[in-house]
Amino acid sequence: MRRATGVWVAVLGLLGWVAGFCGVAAAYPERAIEIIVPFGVGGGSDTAARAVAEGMKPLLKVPLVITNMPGGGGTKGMLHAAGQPADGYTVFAVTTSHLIDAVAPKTRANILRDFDPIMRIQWDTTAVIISGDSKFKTIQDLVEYGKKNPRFLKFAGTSPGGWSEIQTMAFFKKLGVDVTFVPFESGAEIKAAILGGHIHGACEELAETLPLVQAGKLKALAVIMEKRHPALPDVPATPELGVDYTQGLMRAWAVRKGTPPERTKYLHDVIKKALDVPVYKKFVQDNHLYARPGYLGPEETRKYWESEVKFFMDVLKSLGYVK
Amino acid sequence: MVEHYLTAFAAIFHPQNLLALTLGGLWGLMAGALPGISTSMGVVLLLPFTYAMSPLTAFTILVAAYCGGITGGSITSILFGIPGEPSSVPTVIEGHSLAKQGRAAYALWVFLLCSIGGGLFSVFVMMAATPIIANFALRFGPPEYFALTMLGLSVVSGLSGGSVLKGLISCMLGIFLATIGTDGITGLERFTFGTTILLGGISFITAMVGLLAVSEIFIEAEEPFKEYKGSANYRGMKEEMPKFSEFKENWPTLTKSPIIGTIVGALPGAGATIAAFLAYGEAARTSKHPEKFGNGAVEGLMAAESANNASTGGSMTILLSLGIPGSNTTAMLIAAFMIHGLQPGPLLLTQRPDIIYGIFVAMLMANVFLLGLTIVGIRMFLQLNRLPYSVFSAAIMILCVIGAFGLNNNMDDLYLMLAFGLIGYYMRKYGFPIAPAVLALVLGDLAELSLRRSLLLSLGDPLILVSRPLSAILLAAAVFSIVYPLFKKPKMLQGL
Repeated sequence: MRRATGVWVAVLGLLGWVAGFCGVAAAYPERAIEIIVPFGVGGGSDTAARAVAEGMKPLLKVPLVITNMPGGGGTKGMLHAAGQPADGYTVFAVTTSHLIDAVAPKTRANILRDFDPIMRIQWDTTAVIISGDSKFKTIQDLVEYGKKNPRFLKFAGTSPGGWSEIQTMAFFKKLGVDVTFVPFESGAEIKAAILGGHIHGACEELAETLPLVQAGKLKALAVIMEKRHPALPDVPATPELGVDYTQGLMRAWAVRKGTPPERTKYLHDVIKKALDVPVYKKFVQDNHLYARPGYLGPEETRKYWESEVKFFMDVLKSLGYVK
Repeated sequence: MVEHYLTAFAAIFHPQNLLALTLGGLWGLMAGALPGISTSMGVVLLLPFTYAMSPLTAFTILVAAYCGGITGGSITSILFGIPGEPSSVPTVIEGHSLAKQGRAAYALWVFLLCSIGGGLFSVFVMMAATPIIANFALRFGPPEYFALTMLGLSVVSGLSGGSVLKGLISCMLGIFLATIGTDGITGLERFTFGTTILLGGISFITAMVGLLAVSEIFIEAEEPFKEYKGSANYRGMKEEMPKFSEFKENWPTLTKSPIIGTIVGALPGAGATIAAFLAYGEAARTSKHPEKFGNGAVEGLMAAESANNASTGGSMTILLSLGIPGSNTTAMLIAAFMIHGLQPGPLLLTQRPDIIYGIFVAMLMANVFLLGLTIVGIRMFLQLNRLPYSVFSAAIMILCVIGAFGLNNNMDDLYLMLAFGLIGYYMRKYGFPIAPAVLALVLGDLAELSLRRSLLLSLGDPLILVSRPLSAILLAAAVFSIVYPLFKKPKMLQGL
């Protein structure tokens, strides 16, 4: 009797599975897709996600819902997304912070282990910014002063132990300068502190500070990428300084590992198309994200992630954050 | 300049912009009044609707929503004791106490007149002196922020009601709570016990809703069938119209608070909340009746309301002159600039004066419109106050739950809110004042971070705090405000 029940359960289960499989295979997506943004409303990740979503809306029959879940430097939202079913209805907005977190995870979630990338969407450029009336005219002046006075140069950033600090410290390490990193809560505070002369400068995403640079209130000494940035044609790129360092802030979207591949592919195709919609193109233009290609396919994104995590591991070790 | 203002005024009276003022103001009032929707969220939700509008209309509706949100937050604060925004906490403490004494209509009148007055003051300052205010705000570096928070904390004794000792204990609790979460300087976790619930730190709103609103419901639930004190000797809007003499008596508070609000509003990372607390503390310190604070002091309400609304103008000065958002909500306005193809920054004033002056005028008109809109809206809300408390408190509890959950769509915030409700309940039971804990929670984080930032800047030398003139003056004022009452009123030390 017991055995018979067991068989029945197995058969029913199998039937249900097959039925479910056929049913969804035909209908995905049949309800709203939720995008988890692990940062607050109005931040860089949020506006980027909203721009992509705006481009996707006309291509989808189902609604797109953006849920902001800030906290713990983006890890709180990641933990939540990792706990959702792997059915393609929850998309997670990944940034470089999550790759840094993967070196020494703060929560049970791990971006490399628990998620599959849909694609990399953006690859931003960092500019080295100082005050417009600073005595330093070129990056060489700054480096020279910094070498003579170790730790005297104070550079601001937003995420201690995260992207902002690693970018600043790794860049100056390559140049042989030891700077002091001073963390602030937001880009707004950093800009005010530089303008007020309280701090020497910052390594910030280029679009953040561009209007102030163009007005002469701030000065860009270098851009961290392979070639000069079209928006700042007079500012040298890192290779010109004899430094092999082109790291940039990355934004990607991912789904839980184990999501049916055809759903991931469906999402990939829709998002890829959304990147050509005028709304999104304008966003790229406004945020000066056109200098290098943002898009990377799923496999390439995973490879890119893995090499980044390895890179961050080395930097964090040399900074003494992990052993 | 004059012709720019004339064109801007002509443009704002276009029917479509008048409609934008009304709709934006109403939407802002609603968003501010509902605890689950913050002012900045209200502005974000409005953004997509502005894509198709002309830039001026878009900014008119957004600016109206911004001013409306700051105003609306105070309605729920006074009537229900739920702070819709962290900046309305002093309003909860004083305004809601008044409401419980049956004087809700009076508190609403005072709030309305002071907020509109504060808002208008800051708009005029903004129109006249945007570059001056912005440049002054830039002189605040980490040491000055630290001195400012010390000045804020120095008024704890004034907010302690009976016992200074209990006030200090409550303040220490707040400072401790502010240290929980990810450390802002090293990025390491503190007091999270390996859980994720505390990873992001304690959000002000969650803690405040718990400490102030939920704890009160717990206290009142001990006597569920008693008639609500607020409705017992309730009087209507007409009888409660405040007299001019009441404002005249408090003129020092009414002049100081908008100035504090405008300046602090222009400081990125400080904004409306700290402005409201500083002005409130300053009013408590200089009051002739400090014992009334915490139990419905009108001066406290006046100070907080005029300061938090004045912060709107301050925060716009630094946005419009430098493209730096002074608050979360003005950060949303940057997105609006981008949508309309404008680069917020120092060049905007010369490139598109029509937009800048248009925004000035829109803010001015928004404050005028809000006066009318709020008077109409308040009447509706006031009716709720006549409900029996058992029904009323259930409604408040629902609003609290929605508010705490809606913040981040996260159950964790709900648990925290209930935990804070319990903490607040026991604090009230044993006579610990809640205001110092909330004040310390808000200021503690900024105080710690700015102190550590200052020391990073000076490579560990504490003299940086007193060697800069602005920070030295502020610190001296803080020391003075701690020491002075000791000589003036020895009875303030009764609790020690």
